[in-house]
Amino acid sequence: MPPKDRRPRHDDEAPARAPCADGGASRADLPSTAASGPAQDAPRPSATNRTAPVRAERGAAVERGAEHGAPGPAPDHETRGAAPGSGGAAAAPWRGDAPATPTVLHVDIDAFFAAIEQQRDPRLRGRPVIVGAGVIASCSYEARARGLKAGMPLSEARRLCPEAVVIAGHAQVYRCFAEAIFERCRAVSPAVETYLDEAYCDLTGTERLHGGPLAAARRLKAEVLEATGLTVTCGVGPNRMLARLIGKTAKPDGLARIEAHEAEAFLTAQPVERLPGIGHAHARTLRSMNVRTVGELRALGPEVLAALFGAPGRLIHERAFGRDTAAVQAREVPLSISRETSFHRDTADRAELEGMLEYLAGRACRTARELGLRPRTVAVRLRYTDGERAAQARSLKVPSDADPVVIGLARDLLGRLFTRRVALHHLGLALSGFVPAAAEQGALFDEAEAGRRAALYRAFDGVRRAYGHGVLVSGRALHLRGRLEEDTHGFVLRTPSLTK
Amino acid sequence: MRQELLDHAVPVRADFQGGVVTPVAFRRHGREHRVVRVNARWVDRAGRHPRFYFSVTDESGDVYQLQLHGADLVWWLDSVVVEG
Repeated sequence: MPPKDRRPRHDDEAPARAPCADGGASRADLPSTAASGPAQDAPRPSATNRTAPVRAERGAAVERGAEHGAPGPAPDHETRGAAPGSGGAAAAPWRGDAPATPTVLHVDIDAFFAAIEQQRDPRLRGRPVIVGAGVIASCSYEARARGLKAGMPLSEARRLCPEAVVIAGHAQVYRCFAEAIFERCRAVSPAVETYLDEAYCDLTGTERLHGGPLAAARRLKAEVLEATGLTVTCGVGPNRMLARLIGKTAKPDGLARIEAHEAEAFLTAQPVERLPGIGHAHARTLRSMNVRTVGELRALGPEVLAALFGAPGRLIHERAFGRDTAAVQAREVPLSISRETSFHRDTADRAELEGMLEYLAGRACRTARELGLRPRTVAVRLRYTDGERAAQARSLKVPSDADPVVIGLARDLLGRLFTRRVALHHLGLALSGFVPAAAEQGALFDEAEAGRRAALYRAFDGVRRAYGHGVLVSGRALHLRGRLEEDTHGFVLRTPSLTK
Repeated sequence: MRQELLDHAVPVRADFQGGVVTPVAFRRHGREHRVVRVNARWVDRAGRHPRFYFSVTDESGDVYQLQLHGADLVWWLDSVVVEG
């Protein structure tokens, strides 16, 4: 069946025209769903209900007012909450010259993909649900109770939990839900840094607008639940790392807060893997030294950690004490745009590999053009059937968002990387080193040609926006026709970067 | 659970109140399916015109996905998920 967007619309198809009250459906917007229950945002007693002086990271110590963290709608009276005469509930005096206490809110969507699938189909609620192909990308809390977790091979998951419902995933749907949630985050914070299923919101200095951070977080949780039916876990802390870590203690559907002076005590018993920058390899190294907790890690000192892990070692040492100076930044320019997938059937067929690479490059270039960016660096990653990986990146002489330029370099990289006579399981492409398209210096002599090319790609993108990406398939990507299913968004990939 | 792609335009009776659209019933193969529950709704703003999606349960308990194109206000029946 052809994708719907490609079908010409004929009058004799008698499509339904929606009844249009008072001026039409243009006013229609994402409507609210009925909340299925009150937000369970009672803060953890250990992290809230404190009245204590706080060590402000930017120098001056400020007094923090009593934090009414009890469940319920009681407003939390934050420091410096109300300006004189504002009439607000916060009674703390206005200190115009005091620096704002850094406050970061971390918002994490609970069991994101699986929760959406349970939302879309109520028959899945209360049942173990797995989203993923090959490996688990996300699973419901019912599945987690059976020992399943993200990254586990599906074969093992089926053995552990035979009654689990496995869904391949709907990446586009997840993006829509995430964007609806991030929109609500932007309403409470001027700087929101978003990832696939989580966001950091800088609440520093927003108390007079939105009340204290706990009040803002409670309101956000309630709005997200009402609008999407999904629950989020919120962590509030003096920096990104602590906000994220304290939030993890309150999952699912929780709200927790940590103050700066509580950081050391909180982190002491945490496993070292919890610290950002410590992955599996670093954790293995530390375990071999009998270092398992953050408290034990502190004893190593910055020099030892730098000797073990290089320059990031000193950063890890800082983090072990709860210090994280990374700012929350709305990323207008992404670090990279990647498109990758596993193959439905592992393949060494050059035509299929180059077709897939061309298709992935076309998708990535289109995204870059829509963001007004031109990448300088192109990277290709692949994984063989036996698990061996290879990756290489190269830079273009001049940043370009033109499909043929990127595809040419990507094919060259694939030729260098794909050297074994073993089928490939996974192939990916990433663009990075972006420059704004408008800021690029124009070519001196072939300006007319560049203009024609840009107009051509604008036209391509316009057609694809209107009729779906798959309506225009170029060159080698045609080899995918008949091998892969197609829908509105193009070819249906096996693992369409669900976690990217 | 088994998903069947349907992918065709359908007549839909919908409620447009307060700027919120809610499908009430749709006709498929000459039979009217009454929507007993809207399970989820989301909007895709990736294209030039928004698309409004609805996951609905009809009176037989099957779960359908409906789509309203913001450009031409045409309803599409995307898929049905049946038990089994």
